[in-house]
Amino acid sequence: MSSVATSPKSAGPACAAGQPAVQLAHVTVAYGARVVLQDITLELPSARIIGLIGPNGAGKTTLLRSIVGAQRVLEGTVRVLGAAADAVRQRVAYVPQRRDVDWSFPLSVLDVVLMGRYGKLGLLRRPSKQDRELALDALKQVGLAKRQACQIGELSGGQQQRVFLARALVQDADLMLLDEPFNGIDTTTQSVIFDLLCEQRQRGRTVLLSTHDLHSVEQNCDQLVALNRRIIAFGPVDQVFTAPVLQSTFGSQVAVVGDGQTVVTRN
Amino acid sequence: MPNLFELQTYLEPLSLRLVQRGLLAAIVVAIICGVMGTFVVVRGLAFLGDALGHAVFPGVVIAYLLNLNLLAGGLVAGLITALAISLVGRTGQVRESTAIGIFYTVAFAFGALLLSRSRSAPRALSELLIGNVLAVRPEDLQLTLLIGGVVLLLVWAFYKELVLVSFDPQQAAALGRNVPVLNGLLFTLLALTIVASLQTVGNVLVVALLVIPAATARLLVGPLPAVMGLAALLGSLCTFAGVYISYYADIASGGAIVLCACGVFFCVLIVRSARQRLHLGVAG
Repeated sequence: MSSVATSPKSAGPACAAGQPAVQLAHVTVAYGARVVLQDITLELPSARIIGLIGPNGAGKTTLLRSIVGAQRVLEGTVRVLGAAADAVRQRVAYVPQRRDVDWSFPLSVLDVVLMGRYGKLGLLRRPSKQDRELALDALKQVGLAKRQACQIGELSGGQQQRVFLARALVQDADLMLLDEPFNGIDTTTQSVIFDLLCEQRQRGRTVLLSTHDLHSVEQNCDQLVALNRRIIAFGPVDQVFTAPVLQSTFGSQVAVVGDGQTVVTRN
Repeated sequence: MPNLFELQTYLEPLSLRLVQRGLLAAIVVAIICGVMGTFVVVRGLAFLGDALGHAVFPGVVIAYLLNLNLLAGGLVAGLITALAISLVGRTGQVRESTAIGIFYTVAFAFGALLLSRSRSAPRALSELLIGNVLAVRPEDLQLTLLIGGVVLLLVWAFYKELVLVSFDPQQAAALGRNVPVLNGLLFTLLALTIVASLQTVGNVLVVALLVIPAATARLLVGPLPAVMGLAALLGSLCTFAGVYISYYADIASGGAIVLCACGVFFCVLIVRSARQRLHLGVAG
Protein backbone atom coordinates (compact mmCIF):
# COMPACT_ATOMS: atom_id res chain seq x y z
CA MET A 1 0.00 0.00 0.00
CA SER A 2 1.43 3.34 -1.04
CA SER A 3 1.69 6.24 1.35
CA VAL A 4 -0.66 8.30 -0.80
CA ALA A 5 -3.61 6.16 0.11
CA THR A 6 -5.84 8.50 2.02
CA SER A 7 -8.93 8.12 4.08
CA PRO A 8 -11.99 8.94 2.00
CA LYS A 9 -13.11 11.28 4.75
CA SER A 10 -10.51 13.77 3.56
CA ALA A 11 -11.86 13.71 0.03
CA GLY A 12 -14.12 16.72 0.36
CA PRO A 13 -16.99 18.23 2.27
CA ALA A 14 -19.78 16.69 0.14
CA CYS A 15 -19.21 13.16 1.34
CA ALA A 16 -19.98 14.13 4.89
CA ALA A 17 -23.60 14.39 3.75
CA GLY A 18 -23.98 10.75 2.74
CA GLN A 19 -22.68 7.38 3.71
CA PRO A 20 -19.90 5.85 1.59
CA ALA A 21 -21.16 4.56 -1.76
CA VAL A 22 -19.08 1.39 -1.59
CA GLN A 23 -17.35 -0.31 1.32
CA LEU A 24 -15.13 -3.29 0.70
CA ALA A 25 -13.48 -5.03 3.65
CA HIS A 26 -10.76 -7.63 3.07
CA VAL A 27 -12.34 -8.82 -0.17
CA THR A 28 -10.62 -11.72 -1.91
CA VAL A 29 -11.83 -13.18 -5.20
CA ALA A 30 -10.42 -16.25 -6.91
CA TYR A 31 -11.22 -18.18 -10.08
CA GLY A 32 -10.36 -21.72 -9.06
CA ALA A 33 -6.85 -21.54 -7.64
CA ARG A 34 -6.03 -18.23 -9.30
CA VAL A 35 -6.44 -15.28 -6.96
CA VAL A 36 -7.67 -12.25 -8.89
CA LEU A 37 -8.27 -9.82 -6.07
CA GLN A 38 -6.47 -10.04 -2.79
CA ASP A 39 -7.50 -8.44 0.47
CA ILE A 40 -9.19 -5.39 -1.02
CA THR A 41 -10.23 -2.85 1.58
CA LEU A 42 -11.69 0.29 0.12
CA GLU A 43 -14.26 2.93 1.00
CA LEU A 44 -15.56 5.02 -1.89
CA PRO A 45 -17.30 8.31 -1.03
CA SER A 46 -20.60 9.21 -2.67
CA ALA A 47 -21.18 11.96 -5.26
CA ARG A 48 -17.80 11.50 -6.88
CA ILE A 49 -16.45 10.35 -10.21
CA ILE A 50 -13.85 7.77 -9.36
CA GLY A 51 -11.45 6.26 -11.85
CA LEU A 52 -10.26 2.67 -11.50
CA ILE A 53 -6.90 2.21 -13.17
CA GLY A 54 -4.66 -0.78 -13.56
CA PRO A 55 -3.09 -2.93 -16.27
CA ASN A 56 -4.88 -5.74 -18.11
CA GLY A 57 -5.55 -8.61 -15.71
CA ALA A 58 -5.39 -6.35 -12.67
CA GLY A 59 -8.90 -7.40 -11.65
CA LYS A 60 -10.75 -4.20 -12.61
CA THR A 61 -13.73 -6.01 -14.13
CA THR A 62 -13.82 -8.49 -11.25
CA LEU A 63 -13.87 -5.65 -8.73
CA LEU A 64 -16.80 -3.97 -10.52
CA ARG A 65 -18.66 -7.28 -10.76
CA SER A 66 -18.11 -7.94 -7.06
CA ILE A 67 -19.62 -4.58 -6.20
CA VAL A 68 -22.70 -5.22 -8.36
CA GLY A 69 -23.14 -8.65 -6.79
CA ALA A 70 -22.53 -10.58 -10.00
CA GLN A 71 -19.28 -12.08 -8.73
CA ARG A 72 -19.08 -14.30 -5.66
CA VAL A 73 -16.39 -13.19 -3.26
CA LEU A 74 -14.32 -15.80 -1.51
CA GLU A 75 -13.64 -13.77 1.59
CA GLY A 76 -14.50 -10.38 3.00
CA THR A 77 -17.61 -8.23 2.89
CA VAL A 78 -19.07 -5.95 0.24
CA ARG A 79 -21.45 -3.18 1.30
CA VAL A 80 -23.06 -1.02 -1.35
CA LEU A 81 -24.95 2.18 -0.45
CA GLY A 82 -24.90 1.01 3.14
CA ALA A 83 -26.47 -2.39 2.47
CA ALA A 84 -25.66 -5.82 1.09
CA ALA A 85 -25.21 -5.80 -2.72
CA ASP A 86 -28.25 -8.04 -3.21
CA ALA A 87 -30.52 -5.65 -1.36
CA VAL A 88 -29.69 -2.57 -3.43
CA ARG A 89 -29.43 -4.00 -6.94
CA GLN A 90 -32.05 -1.62 -8.26
CA ARG A 91 -29.97 1.37 -7.16
CA VAL A 92 -26.84 0.18 -8.95
CA ALA A 93 -26.29 0.36 -12.71
CA TYR A 94 -23.59 -1.69 -14.38
CA VAL A 95 -22.25 -1.09 -17.87
CA PRO A 96 -20.21 -4.04 -19.15
CA GLN A 97 -17.49 -3.68 -21.74
CA ARG A 98 -18.89 -3.00 -25.17
CA ARG A 99 -17.04 -5.91 -26.74
CA ASP A 100 -18.65 -8.36 -24.27
CA VAL A 101 -21.91 -8.46 -26.21
CA ASP A 102 -22.77 -9.45 -29.77
CA TRP A 103 -23.86 -6.25 -31.53
CA SER A 104 -25.28 -8.17 -34.49
CA PHE A 105 -28.07 -9.36 -32.16
CA PRO A 106 -31.41 -8.38 -33.75
CA LEU A 107 -32.45 -5.68 -31.28
CA SER A 108 -33.31 -2.03 -31.77
CA VAL A 109 -31.60 0.79 -29.90
CA LEU A 110 -34.76 1.35 -27.84
CA ASP A 111 -34.97 -2.39 -27.00
CA VAL A 112 -31.52 -2.28 -25.44
CA VAL A 113 -32.19 0.88 -23.43
CA LEU A 114 -35.46 -0.62 -22.15
CA MET A 115 -33.42 -3.44 -20.60
CA GLY A 116 -32.36 -0.87 -18.02
CA ARG A 117 -35.95 -0.90 -16.74
CA TYR A 118 -36.10 -4.68 -16.28
CA GLY A 119 -34.77 -4.49 -12.72
CA LYS A 120 -37.78 -2.43 -11.64
CA LEU A 121 -40.20 -4.39 -13.83
CA GLY A 122 -39.65 -7.79 -12.26
CA LEU A 123 -40.09 -11.14 -13.97
CA LEU A 124 -43.31 -11.30 -15.92
CA ARG A 125 -44.26 -7.67 -16.57
CA ARG A 126 -43.62 -5.95 -19.90
CA PRO A 127 -42.25 -2.43 -20.31
CA SER A 128 -45.07 0.12 -20.12
CA LYS A 129 -45.56 3.31 -22.09
CA GLN A 130 -43.94 5.19 -19.24
CA ASP A 131 -40.87 2.92 -19.43
CA ARG A 132 -40.65 3.71 -23.14
CA GLU A 133 -40.82 7.42 -22.45
CA LEU A 134 -38.06 7.15 -19.86
CA ALA A 135 -35.92 5.16 -22.30
CA LEU A 136 -36.49 7.71 -25.04
CA ASP A 137 -35.58 10.46 -22.61
CA ALA A 138 -32.30 8.72 -21.79
CA LEU A 139 -31.61 8.37 -25.51
CA LYS A 140 -32.18 12.11 -25.90
CA GLN A 141 -29.59 12.75 -23.20
CA VAL A 142 -26.97 10.77 -25.09
CA GLY A 143 -28.00 12.34 -28.40
CA LEU A 144 -29.40 9.20 -30.02
CA ALA A 145 -33.17 9.81 -29.87
CA LYS A 146 -33.39 9.87 -33.67
CA ARG A 147 -31.83 6.44 -33.91
CA GLN A 148 -34.20 4.70 -31.47
CA ALA A 149 -35.60 2.34 -34.11
CA CYS A 150 -32.22 1.43 -35.62
CA GLN A 151 -30.77 -2.04 -35.27
CA ILE A 152 -27.87 -1.86 -32.82
CA GLY A 153 -25.53 -3.42 -35.36
CA GLU A 154 -25.86 -0.31 -37.55
CA LEU A 155 -24.31 1.95 -34.90
CA SER A 156 -20.69 3.05 -34.61
CA GLY A 157 -18.64 2.00 -31.59
CA GLY A 158 -19.10 5.36 -29.90
CA GLN A 159 -22.85 5.25 -30.46
CA GLN A 160 -23.02 1.71 -29.05
CA GLN A 161 -21.25 2.92 -25.92
CA ARG A 162 -23.76 5.76 -25.64
CA VAL A 163 -26.64 3.25 -25.94
CA PHE A 164 -25.13 1.34 -23.02
CA LEU A 165 -24.83 4.60 -21.08
CA ALA A 166 -28.48 5.41 -21.83
CA ARG A 167 -29.43 1.96 -20.52
CA ALA A 168 -27.59 2.78 -17.27
CA LEU A 169 -29.18 6.25 -17.04
CA VAL A 170 -32.69 4.82 -17.39
CA GLN A 171 -32.06 2.70 -14.29
CA ASP A 172 -32.03 5.92 -12.30
CA ALA A 173 -29.29 4.43 -10.13
CA ASP A 174 -27.36 6.00 -7.27
CA LEU A 175 -24.19 4.16 -8.16
CA MET A 176 -22.98 3.68 -11.72
CA LEU A 177 -20.24 1.23 -12.55
CA LEU A 178 -18.72 1.47 -16.02
CA ASP A 179 -16.23 -1.06 -17.36
CA GLU A 180 -13.82 0.49 -19.89
CA PRO A 181 -16.36 2.96 -21.30
CA PHE A 182 -13.71 4.70 -23.40
CA ASN A 183 -12.37 1.67 -25.19
CA GLY A 184 -12.10 2.39 -28.90
CA ILE A 185 -14.29 5.48 -29.00
CA ASP A 186 -13.62 8.99 -30.33
CA THR A 187 -12.82 11.97 -28.13
CA THR A 188 -16.15 13.64 -28.91
CA THR A 189 -18.08 10.69 -27.49
CA GLN A 190 -15.70 10.65 -24.55
CA SER A 191 -16.51 14.24 -23.64
CA VAL A 192 -20.24 13.62 -24.16
CA ILE A 193 -20.01 10.73 -21.70
CA PHE A 194 -18.02 12.72 -19.15
CA ASP A 195 -20.51 15.61 -19.34
CA LEU A 196 -23.33 13.20 -18.54
CA LEU A 197 -21.36 11.64 -15.70
CA CYS A 198 -20.68 15.08 -14.22
CA GLU A 199 -24.41 15.74 -14.30
CA GLN A 200 -24.94 12.49 -12.38
CA ARG A 201 -22.38 13.61 -9.81
CA GLN A 202 -24.21 16.91 -9.35
CA ARG A 203 -27.33 14.94 -8.52
CA GLY A 204 -25.40 13.19 -5.77
CA ARG A 205 -24.73 10.01 -7.71
CA THR A 206 -21.47 8.11 -7.59
CA VAL A 207 -19.63 6.93 -10.68
CA LEU A 208 -16.88 4.32 -10.69
CA LEU A 209 -15.29 3.69 -14.07
CA SER A 210 -12.42 1.49 -15.07
CA THR A 211 -10.09 2.52 -17.84
CA HIS A 212 -6.56 2.24 -19.04
CA ASP A 213 -6.78 5.65 -20.70
CA LEU A 214 -4.79 7.48 -18.04
CA HIS A 215 -5.05 10.84 -19.75
CA SER A 216 -8.86 10.97 -19.55
CA VAL A 217 -9.04 9.95 -15.89
CA GLU A 218 -6.45 12.49 -14.84
CA GLN A 219 -8.54 15.28 -16.35
CA ASN A 220 -12.04 14.17 -15.44
CA CYS A 221 -12.03 12.13 -12.24
CA ASP A 222 -12.16 13.36 -8.66
CA GLN A 223 -10.43 10.36 -7.22
CA LEU A 224 -8.47 7.39 -8.44
CA VAL A 225 -8.10 3.80 -7.36
CA ALA A 226 -4.87 2.21 -8.57
CA LEU A 227 -5.39 -1.55 -8.68
CA ASN A 228 -3.17 -4.47 -9.49
CA ARG A 229 -4.72 -7.49 -7.73
CA ARG A 230 -4.43 -5.41 -4.57
CA ILE A 231 -5.03 -1.75 -3.93
CA ILE A 232 -1.83 0.10 -4.80
CA ALA A 233 -3.23 3.50 -3.93
CA PHE A 234 -6.48 5.37 -3.46
CA GLY A 235 -7.09 9.07 -3.11
CA PRO A 236 -7.47 12.40 -4.92
CA VAL A 237 -6.13 12.37 -8.47
CA ASP A 238 -3.08 14.55 -7.81
CA GLN A 239 -1.96 12.19 -5.07
CA VAL A 240 -2.45 8.94 -6.98
CA PHE A 241 -1.37 10.15 -10.39
CA THR A 242 2.30 10.16 -9.50
CA ALA A 243 5.30 8.41 -10.95
CA PRO A 244 5.90 5.99 -8.06
CA VAL A 245 2.25 4.87 -7.85
CA LEU A 246 1.85 4.47 -11.60
CA GLN A 247 5.05 2.53 -11.84
CA SER A 248 4.14 0.16 -9.07
CA THR A 249 0.67 -0.29 -10.60
CA PHE A 250 1.61 -0.75 -14.22
CA GLY A 251 5.21 -1.95 -13.85
CA SER A 252 7.07 -1.86 -17.13
CA GLN A 253 3.93 -0.89 -19.08
CA VAL A 254 4.34 2.72 -18.03
CA ALA A 255 7.08 5.24 -18.68
CA VAL A 256 7.12 8.43 -16.71
CA VAL A 257 8.85 11.28 -18.50
CA GLY A 258 10.39 14.41 -17.01
CA ASP A 259 8.42 15.97 -14.18
CA GLY A 260 6.16 12.98 -13.80
CA GLN A 261 3.26 14.63 -15.66
CA THR A 262 3.67 12.83 -18.96
CA VAL A 263 2.77 9.22 -18.96
CA VAL A 264 3.06 6.85 -21.87
CA THR A 265 1.39 3.49 -21.58
CA ARG A 266 2.64 0.66 -23.65
CA ASN A 267 -0.17 -1.77 -24.19
CA MET B 1 -46.76 -36.96 -61.58
CA PRO B 2 -49.77 -35.12 -60.09
CA ASN B 3 -51.13 -32.05 -61.85
CA LEU B 4 -49.96 -29.05 -59.82
CA PHE B 5 -52.71 -26.79 -61.17
CA GLU B 6 -55.61 -28.92 -60.04
CA LEU B 7 -57.21 -28.27 -56.68
CA GLN B 8 -57.81 -31.99 -56.30
CA THR B 9 -54.04 -32.51 -56.06
CA TYR B 10 -54.01 -30.50 -52.83
CA LEU B 11 -57.30 -31.74 -51.40
CA GLU B 12 -56.84 -35.44 -51.95
CA PRO B 13 -54.15 -36.04 -49.28
CA LEU B 14 -56.12 -33.94 -46.80
CA SER B 15 -59.05 -36.33 -46.97
CA LEU B 16 -56.94 -38.89 -45.14
CA ARG B 17 -56.96 -38.81 -41.34
CA LEU B 18 -53.36 -39.92 -41.41
CA VAL B 19 -52.23 -36.93 -43.46
CA GLN B 20 -54.36 -34.47 -41.50
CA ARG B 21 -52.80 -35.63 -38.27
CA GLY B 22 -49.26 -35.66 -39.61
CA LEU B 23 -49.57 -32.26 -41.22
CA LEU B 24 -50.99 -30.67 -38.08
CA ALA B 25 -48.20 -32.16 -35.93
CA ALA B 26 -45.55 -31.07 -38.45
CA ILE B 27 -46.84 -27.50 -38.57
CA VAL B 28 -46.89 -27.21 -34.77
CA VAL B 29 -43.30 -28.45 -34.84
CA ALA B 30 -42.35 -25.94 -37.56
CA ILE B 31 -43.80 -23.08 -35.51
CA ILE B 32 -41.95 -23.90 -32.29
CA CYS B 33 -38.79 -24.66 -34.26
CA GLY B 34 -39.04 -21.20 -35.83
CA VAL B 35 -39.36 -19.53 -32.41
CA MET B 36 -36.70 -21.58 -30.61
CA GLY B 37 -34.50 -21.65 -33.73
CA THR B 38 -34.30 -17.86 -33.60
CA PHE B 39 -32.67 -18.17 -30.17
CA VAL B 40 -30.42 -20.91 -31.55
CA VAL B 41 -29.30 -18.73 -34.46
CA VAL B 42 -28.75 -15.45 -32.60
CA ARG B 43 -26.91 -17.18 -29.76
CA GLY B 44 -24.93 -19.55 -31.95
CA LEU B 45 -26.39 -22.64 -30.24
CA ALA B 46 -26.58 -24.88 -33.34
CA PHE B 47 -24.12 -27.28 -31.73
CA LEU B 48 -26.26 -27.55 -28.59
CA GLY B 49 -29.31 -28.20 -30.75
CA ASP B 50 -27.48 -30.98 -32.56
CA ALA B 51 -26.29 -32.38 -29.25
CA LEU B 52 -29.76 -32.43 -27.70
CA GLY B 53 -31.07 -34.09 -30.85
CA HIS B 54 -28.65 -36.95 -30.28
CA ALA B 55 -29.10 -36.95 -26.51
CA VAL B 56 -32.79 -37.89 -26.72
CA PHE B 57 -31.77 -41.15 -28.42
CA PRO B 58 -31.03 -43.33 -25.34
CA GLY B 59 -34.32 -42.24 -23.77
CA VAL B 60 -36.18 -43.30 -26.88
CA VAL B 61 -34.42 -46.68 -26.91
CA ILE B 62 -35.11 -47.32 -23.22
CA ALA B 63 -38.74 -46.35 -23.68
CA TYR B 64 -38.96 -48.75 -26.64
CA LEU B 65 -37.40 -51.63 -24.70
CA LEU B 66 -39.69 -51.02 -21.73
CA ASN B 67 -42.70 -50.51 -23.99
CA LEU B 68 -43.26 -46.93 -22.80
CA ASN B 69 -44.10 -43.79 -24.77
CA LEU B 70 -41.07 -43.08 -26.99
CA LEU B 71 -41.43 -39.31 -26.91
CA ALA B 72 -41.72 -39.26 -23.13
CA GLY B 73 -38.53 -41.31 -22.91
CA GLY B 74 -36.76 -38.95 -25.30
CA LEU B 75 -37.95 -35.97 -23.30
CA VAL B 76 -36.54 -37.30 -20.04
CA ALA B 77 -33.17 -38.10 -21.66
CA GLY B 78 -33.03 -34.67 -23.34
CA LEU B 79 -33.80 -32.86 -20.10
CA ILE B 80 -31.23 -34.85 -18.12
CA THR B 81 -28.58 -34.06 -20.74
CA ALA B 82 -29.50 -30.36 -20.84
CA LEU B 83 -29.27 -30.25 -17.05
CA ALA B 84 -25.91 -32.07 -17.03
CA ILE B 85 -24.48 -29.69 -19.65
CA SER B 86 -25.54 -26.57 -17.79
CA LEU B 87 -24.28 -27.94 -14.43
CA VAL B 88 -20.87 -28.89 -15.81
CA GLY B 89 -20.66 -25.60 -17.76
CA ARG B 90 -21.44 -23.79 -14.50
CA THR B 91 -18.39 -25.18 -12.69
CA GLY B 92 -16.22 -23.11 -14.99
CA GLN B 93 -13.72 -25.97 -15.24
CA VAL B 94 -14.42 -26.76 -18.90
CA ARG B 95 -15.86 -24.76 -21.78
CA GLU B 96 -19.55 -25.20 -22.42
CA SER B 97 -18.90 -26.56 -25.93
CA THR B 98 -16.65 -29.21 -24.37
CA ALA B 99 -19.38 -30.15 -21.89
CA ILE B 100 -21.84 -30.43 -24.79
CA GLY B 101 -19.42 -32.55 -26.81
CA ILE B 102 -18.96 -34.94 -23.91
CA PHE B 103 -22.56 -35.40 -22.86
CA TYR B 104 -24.22 -35.83 -26.20
CA THR B 105 -21.74 -38.42 -27.42
CA VAL B 106 -21.98 -40.28 -24.11
CA ALA B 107 -25.77 -40.26 -24.35
CA PHE B 108 -25.68 -41.40 -27.98
CA ALA B 109 -23.16 -44.15 -27.21
CA PHE B 110 -25.38 -45.34 -24.37
CA GLY B 111 -28.34 -45.45 -26.73
CA ALA B 112 -26.36 -47.41 -29.33
CA LEU B 113 -25.24 -49.85 -26.65
CA LEU B 114 -28.80 -50.45 -25.48
CA LEU B 115 -30.01 -50.87 -29.03
CA SER B 116 -27.37 -53.49 -29.78
CA ARG B 117 -28.88 -55.66 -27.03
CA SER B 118 -32.30 -55.77 -28.65
CA ARG B 119 -32.68 -58.42 -31.34
CA SER B 120 -33.88 -56.57 -34.42
CA ALA B 121 -33.21 -53.00 -35.41
CA PRO B 122 -36.78 -51.84 -34.88
CA ARG B 123 -38.46 -49.80 -37.57
CA ALA B 124 -40.07 -47.50 -34.99
CA LEU B 125 -36.63 -46.32 -33.91
CA SER B 126 -35.31 -45.66 -37.40
CA GLU B 127 -38.42 -43.56 -37.96
CA LEU B 128 -37.43 -41.39 -35.05
CA LEU B 129 -34.00 -40.85 -36.55
CA ILE B 130 -35.29 -39.49 -39.84
CA GLY B 131 -38.94 -38.87 -39.07
CA ASN B 132 -42.15 -39.95 -40.74
CA VAL B 133 -45.08 -37.57 -40.76
CA LEU B 134 -47.47 -40.32 -41.83
CA ALA B 135 -46.65 -42.44 -38.78
CA VAL B 136 -47.95 -39.87 -36.28
CA ARG B 137 -50.48 -41.56 -33.99
CA PRO B 138 -53.31 -39.68 -32.23
CA GLU B 139 -51.50 -39.80 -28.87
CA ASP B 140 -48.32 -38.44 -30.55
CA LEU B 141 -50.33 -35.55 -31.94
CA GLN B 142 -51.72 -34.84 -28.49
CA LEU B 143 -48.24 -34.78 -26.98
CA THR B 144 -46.94 -32.56 -29.80
CA LEU B 145 -49.78 -30.10 -29.29
CA LEU B 146 -49.17 -30.10 -25.55
CA ILE B 147 -45.42 -29.50 -25.96
CA GLY B 148 -46.04 -26.84 -28.59
CA GLY B 149 -48.41 -25.01 -26.28
CA VAL B 150 -46.06 -25.21 -23.30
CA VAL B 151 -43.07 -23.96 -25.31
CA LEU B 152 -44.95 -21.01 -26.83
CA LEU B 153 -46.50 -20.08 -23.48
CA LEU B 154 -43.15 -20.11 -21.64
CA VAL B 155 -41.36 -18.17 -24.38
CA TRP B 156 -44.17 -15.60 -24.28
CA ALA B 157 -44.07 -15.34 -20.49
CA PHE B 158 -40.29 -15.14 -20.15
CA TYR B 159 -39.57 -13.43 -23.48
CA LYS B 160 -37.88 -10.38 -21.99
CA GLU B 161 -35.72 -12.47 -19.63
CA LEU B 162 -34.70 -14.95 -22.36
CA VAL B 163 -33.69 -12.09 -24.67
CA LEU B 164 -31.81 -10.30 -21.88
CA VAL B 165 -29.84 -13.37 -20.85
CA SER B 166 -29.08 -14.15 -24.49
CA PHE B 167 -27.88 -10.66 -25.40
CA ASP B 168 -26.14 -9.52 -22.22
CA PRO B 169 -25.79 -12.10 -19.41
CA GLN B 170 -23.66 -9.66 -17.38
CA GLN B 171 -26.48 -7.12 -17.31
CA ALA B 172 -28.90 -9.92 -16.43
CA ALA B 173 -26.70 -10.90 -13.47
CA ALA B 174 -26.29 -7.28 -12.41
CA LEU B 175 -30.08 -6.86 -12.39
CA GLY B 176 -30.31 -9.86 -10.06
CA ARG B 177 -31.59 -12.38 -12.61
CA ASN B 178 -30.46 -15.97 -12.10
CA VAL B 179 -28.49 -16.49 -15.32
CA PRO B 180 -27.94 -20.29 -14.98
CA VAL B 181 -31.65 -20.85 -14.29
CA LEU B 182 -32.68 -18.76 -17.30
CA ASN B 183 -30.18 -20.55 -19.54
CA GLY B 184 -31.51 -23.83 -18.13
CA LEU B 185 -35.02 -22.74 -19.07
CA LEU B 186 -33.88 -21.98 -22.62
CA PHE B 187 -32.11 -25.36 -22.93
CA THR B 188 -35.20 -27.13 -21.55
CA LEU B 189 -37.44 -25.43 -24.09
CA LEU B 190 -34.98 -26.48 -26.78
CA ALA B 191 -35.08 -30.09 -25.55
CA LEU B 192 -38.90 -30.00 -25.58
CA THR B 193 -38.89 -28.67 -29.13
CA ILE B 194 -36.54 -31.39 -30.28
CA VAL B 195 -38.63 -34.14 -28.71
CA ALA B 196 -41.76 -32.75 -30.37
CA SER B 197 -39.89 -32.88 -33.70
CA LEU B 198 -38.92 -36.56 -33.41
CA GLN B 199 -41.98 -37.89 -35.25
CA THR B 200 -41.95 -35.44 -38.12
CA VAL B 201 -38.34 -34.67 -39.03
CA GLY B 202 -36.44 -36.98 -36.69
CA ASN B 203 -33.77 -36.21 -34.16
CA VAL B 204 -30.92 -35.77 -36.64
CA LEU B 205 -32.70 -33.44 -39.06
CA VAL B 206 -34.29 -31.32 -36.35
CA VAL B 207 -31.23 -29.08 -36.26
CA ALA B 208 -31.97 -28.12 -39.87
CA LEU B 209 -35.53 -27.14 -38.98
CA LEU B 210 -34.21 -25.11 -36.04
CA VAL B 211 -31.44 -23.33 -37.91
CA ILE B 212 -32.50 -22.92 -41.56
CA PRO B 213 -35.86 -21.08 -41.28
CA ALA B 214 -34.48 -18.78 -38.55
CA ALA B 215 -31.33 -18.07 -40.55
CA THR B 216 -33.44 -17.31 -43.62
CA ALA B 217 -35.72 -14.99 -41.63
CA ARG B 218 -32.69 -13.27 -40.15
CA LEU B 219 -31.59 -12.35 -43.67
CA LEU B 220 -34.97 -10.82 -44.44
CA VAL B 221 -36.17 -8.92 -41.36
CA GLY B 222 -34.64 -6.97 -38.48
CA PRO B 223 -36.48 -7.09 -35.14
CA LEU B 224 -36.33 -10.27 -33.08
CA PRO B 225 -40.11 -10.93 -32.86
CA ALA B 226 -40.32 -10.50 -36.65
CA VAL B 227 -37.49 -13.01 -37.13
CA MET B 228 -39.40 -15.49 -34.93
CA GLY B 229 -42.68 -14.97 -36.76
CA LEU B 230 -41.18 -15.22 -40.22
CA ALA B 231 -39.12 -18.28 -39.26
CA ALA B 232 -42.29 -19.98 -38.01
CA LEU B 233 -44.11 -19.04 -41.22
CA LEU B 234 -41.30 -20.17 -43.53
CA GLY B 235 -40.93 -23.41 -41.58
CA SER B 236 -44.68 -24.06 -41.84
CA LEU B 237 -44.74 -23.42 -45.60
CA CYS B 238 -41.75 -25.71 -46.16
CA THR B 239 -43.42 -28.34 -43.98
CA PHE B 240 -46.57 -28.10 -46.09
CA ALA B 241 -44.59 -28.45 -49.30
CA GLY B 242 -42.44 -31.22 -47.85
CA VAL B 243 -45.42 -33.28 -46.69
CA TYR B 244 -47.07 -33.07 -50.13
CA ILE B 245 -43.86 -34.01 -51.89
CA SER B 246 -43.38 -36.86 -49.48
CA TYR B 247 -46.97 -38.02 -50.08
CA TYR B 248 -46.79 -38.04 -53.87
CA ALA B 249 -43.17 -39.09 -54.34
CA ASP B 250 -43.33 -41.57 -51.46
CA ILE B 251 -40.10 -40.29 -49.89
CA ALA B 252 -39.11 -39.53 -46.29
CA SER B 253 -41.01 -36.48 -45.05
CA GLY B 254 -38.20 -35.19 -42.82
CA GLY B 255 -35.78 -35.05 -45.72
CA ALA B 256 -38.32 -33.42 -48.03
CA ILE B 257 -39.15 -30.70 -45.46
CA VAL B 258 -35.50 -29.92 -44.78
CA LEU B 259 -34.57 -29.81 -48.46
CA CYS B 260 -37.43 -27.38 -49.12
CA ALA B 261 -36.21 -25.13 -46.31
CA CYS B 262 -32.69 -25.38 -47.62
CA GLY B 263 -33.85 -24.39 -51.13
CA VAL B 264 -35.61 -21.30 -49.76
CA PHE B 265 -32.54 -20.35 -47.75
CA PHE B 266 -30.21 -20.48 -50.74
CA CYS B 267 -32.66 -18.55 -52.95
CA VAL B 268 -32.83 -15.77 -50.34
CA LEU B 269 -29.07 -15.82 -49.84
CA ILE B 270 -28.35 -15.58 -53.57
CA VAL B 271 -30.90 -12.82 -54.19
CA ARG B 272 -29.59 -10.83 -51.24
CA SER B 273 -25.96 -11.22 -52.21
CA ALA B 274 -26.77 -10.23 -55.80
CA ARG B 275 -28.68 -7.17 -54.63
CA GLN B 276 -25.90 -6.20 -52.27
CA ARG B 277 -23.36 -6.50 -55.05
CA LEU B 278 -25.58 -4.44 -57.34
CA HIS B 279 -25.91 -1.85 -54.61
CA LEU B 280 -22.15 -1.66 -54.10
CA GLY B 281 -21.64 -1.44 -57.85
CA VAL B 282 -23.97 1.54 -58.08
CA ALA B 283 -22.44 3.20 -55.03
CA GLY B 284 -18.90 2.68 -56.29
